[in-house]
Amino acid sequence: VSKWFERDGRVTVGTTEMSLEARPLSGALPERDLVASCRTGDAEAFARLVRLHEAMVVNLAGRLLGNVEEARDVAQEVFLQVYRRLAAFEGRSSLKTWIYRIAVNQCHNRRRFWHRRRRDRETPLDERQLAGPLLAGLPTAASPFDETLRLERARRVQAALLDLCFEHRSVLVLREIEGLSCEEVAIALGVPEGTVKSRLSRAREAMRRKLAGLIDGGNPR
Amino acid sequence: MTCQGVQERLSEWLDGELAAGVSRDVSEHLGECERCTRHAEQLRAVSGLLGELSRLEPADAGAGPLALQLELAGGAVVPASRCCSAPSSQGGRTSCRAC
Repeated sequence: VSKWFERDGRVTVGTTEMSLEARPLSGALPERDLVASCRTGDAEAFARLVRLHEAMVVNLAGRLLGNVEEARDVAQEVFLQVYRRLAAFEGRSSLKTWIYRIAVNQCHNRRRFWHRRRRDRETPLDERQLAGPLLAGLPTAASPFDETLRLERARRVQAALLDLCFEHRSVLVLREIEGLSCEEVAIALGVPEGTVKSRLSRAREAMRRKLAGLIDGGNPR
Repeated sequence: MTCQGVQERLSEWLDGELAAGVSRDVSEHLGECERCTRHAEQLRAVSGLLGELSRLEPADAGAGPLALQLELAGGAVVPASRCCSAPSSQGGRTSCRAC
């Protein structure tokens, strides 16, 4: 089984039979060159592509699915799809936006799977306990009290997010958390920009209502 | 512009997506209407709360998809010509704005 890892600033792709040393990740390769290398089956280039975009995919999936382990699992599927479908990528959007599109589709598929499973086994994804990493990771707050308040805010925001329909949640996560423009969100979701704007408006309004107590009860920032 | 008209446009106003004339009308209304101003502040607070959420990190950064690792270890794999939005079972090529 091969394994990609980094040591002394170098990426190594190793298997039981071979080991291929790669250039440092800091050596930025133009996107089109990286894609071209990946298309030839270059493991080193694909390792670089994964490194560049893995955190973004895991974060997106985590917010859409509300479960860190599910998110990491989906990320594996996303990059498998990225590799297999790279030949069809012609650069109409940025590679990042294209990967976002695949990631959202994979998350949507995963949710549909869980909805079918819920009918059989009554184990809906959204009712699982949110994993700790979803609520942690920000710069350390000034005091344990502040940290507790921050975690409670994060818990309520994530719960409100999961309470939205998938269409509203995905548009909100891509725009507000991932920082995509409305045009990029439209491409990532495969819908017209006008649809993105109307979904954004309804999603923000829904969140405003769900978080009214948090917003009015104290300074959210 | 009425309060309802303003509130329906607040999301786009916050994103800077409104046409200049409409944006000016909204801004002027907000300067005179406390209720709509409060509404806009609450929507801005929602954005702040979402932006405050932490970013998740991969468990094993750079490890890559296990299934792909197995494919690569097993020999050359020719990527399929399939659109990003095509179902896995679809062999034919399609294209979209993203591809």
